[in-house]
Amino acid sequence: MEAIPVAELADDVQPMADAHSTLGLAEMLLKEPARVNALTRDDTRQGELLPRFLALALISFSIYAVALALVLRAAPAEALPPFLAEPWSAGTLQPALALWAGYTLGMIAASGICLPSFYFFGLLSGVRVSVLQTVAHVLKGKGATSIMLVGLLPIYVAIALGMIVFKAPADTLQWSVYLGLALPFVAGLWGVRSIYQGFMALADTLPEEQRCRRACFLRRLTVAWSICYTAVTPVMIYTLWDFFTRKLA
Amino acid sequence: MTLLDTTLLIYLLLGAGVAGAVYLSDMARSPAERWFQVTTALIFWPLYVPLLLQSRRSPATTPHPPPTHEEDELTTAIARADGELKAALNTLDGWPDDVLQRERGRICELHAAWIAQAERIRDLDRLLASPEYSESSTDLLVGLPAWPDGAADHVSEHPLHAPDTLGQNVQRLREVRQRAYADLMDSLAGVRRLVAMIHLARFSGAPAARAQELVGQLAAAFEGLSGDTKGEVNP
Repeated sequence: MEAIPVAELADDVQPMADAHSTLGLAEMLLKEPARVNALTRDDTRQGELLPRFLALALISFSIYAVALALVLRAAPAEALPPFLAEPWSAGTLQPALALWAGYTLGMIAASGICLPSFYFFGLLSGVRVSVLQTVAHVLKGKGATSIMLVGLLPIYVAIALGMIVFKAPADTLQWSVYLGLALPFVAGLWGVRSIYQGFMALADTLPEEQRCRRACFLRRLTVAWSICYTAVTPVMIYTLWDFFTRKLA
Repeated sequence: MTLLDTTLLIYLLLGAGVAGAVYLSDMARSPAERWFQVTTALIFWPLYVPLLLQSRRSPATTPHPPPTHEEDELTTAIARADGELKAALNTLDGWPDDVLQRERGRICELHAAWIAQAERIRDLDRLLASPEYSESSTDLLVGLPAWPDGAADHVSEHPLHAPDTLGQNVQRLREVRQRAYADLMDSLAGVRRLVAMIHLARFSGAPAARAQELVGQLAAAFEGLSGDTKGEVNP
C-alpha cells in the first residue's frame, strides 16, 4: 500500500460544538452527527441529552405553529382547505392554539406511542439496547427533524407570504397551505434518517459471526418502524388538533 | 365525561407522579432546567420513565459486544484493527455518504473473513497439537501393529501410506497454518495502514473524492484475504 501524497494542511480547525448546551447540541446535529450518535450511546450522558432534545423539538414545533398560524391568518378564506375554513374564519386565537397543541404535542406523543415497538424491533433483531437508549435515539431523530424544520420554515413562509401578497390564484394558494401542513413530515425524513443511522450503528453489539446477516434484518425492521411511525403521526396530530379545537371552541 | 377525557385525566395523573419523581431526582443542573423537566414530564412522562429507572442502575449495565470465544492473540489483533477502522470511518462525516454506504457491506464482509480465518487457524492449531500430528513422520509409524510378511513393502509403495508422505503432509499442514496466519496478519496490518491514511487525508484537508479511493481499498483487502484462503489448499 503506497503512502498518500502529502497535501496542504487544512487552513483552520473547526471548533467543536458544546455538547453541554441545547444550542451546542443543535450545532452538533448539523455538523457532527456521528458525535451525537456516540453521545446517545453513552449511559452517563443520556439523562442530560433527553431533555435537551425535547426542548429542541418543543421550540422548533412552536416556531412552526406560529409561522403556519400567520400564513393561515393572512391567507384569504377561499384559499383555505375546507376543514380549516370554518374555524379560521372567526378570527379568534383558539384555532391557532389548537394548531400549536396538535402539532407540538402530536409529533412528540407519536414518538412515545411508537417507542415500545421500536424497542421490541431492536430486541428482535438481536442488538443490545436499553429502553433508555431507544428513547434517546428516537428523541435524537426528533431533534434532527426540528433542526430541518426550522431550516425549511423561512423558505416556506417567504414563498407562501409572497403568493398571498401577489394574490396568487386560490387553488395554488391552497396547495401551498397543504404543503405547509405537510412540512413537518418533509423535515421528518431527516429525523428518520438520523434514527436509522443511530440504530444501525448499534449493529456492533451483535455477535461477530451473525453481524452481517442480523444487520440486514435490523435495517428492515428500522425501515418498517419508520413507516409505522409515519402512519401514526398524522393520525395523532389530527386527533389532538380536533380534540383541542372542540375543547377551545 | 367522554372516554377521551377520562383517558386524558388518567394520563395526566400518571404524568403528575412522574413529574414529582423528576423534581426529586438529581437530573437537572439548574433550577430552570429542573422546572422545564418537571413541566415536560407532566405531559411527556413516557419519555422520562426509562430515564428515572435507568439512573438508579450502575454504569456496568452498558451494553458491550458479547465475547464469542476466549480472548487470544488473534481476537485481540482483529478487535484492534476493527476498532481503529470503525473509528476512522466515523470521522468521515464530511465525505460522501454514498461512498461509505456502498463500501459498508464490504467492510462487514472483511470483518467476517477475518473471523473465519482466525477460526481456521485455531482449528489447524488444535489439529497440529493433537498427538497424532505432533511427531515426526518416522515416529508416526512407531507403535503401529506390525505388517504381515511382505505386506509392509506392498503397502509402503502406495503414496498415501509411505512414511515420508505422512511427514510431508504434516509439514504441509504446518505451512498452510503459517500462510493463513501470515495472510491474516498482512490483511490486518494493511487495514491499519489504510486507517492511518484516512486520518492523514482528513487532517491534511484532502478532497472528498479521496474517500472513495481509500475506502475502496478495503474491498481489495477483503478480496486478497478470501482469495488467499481459497487458493492455498492444493494437495
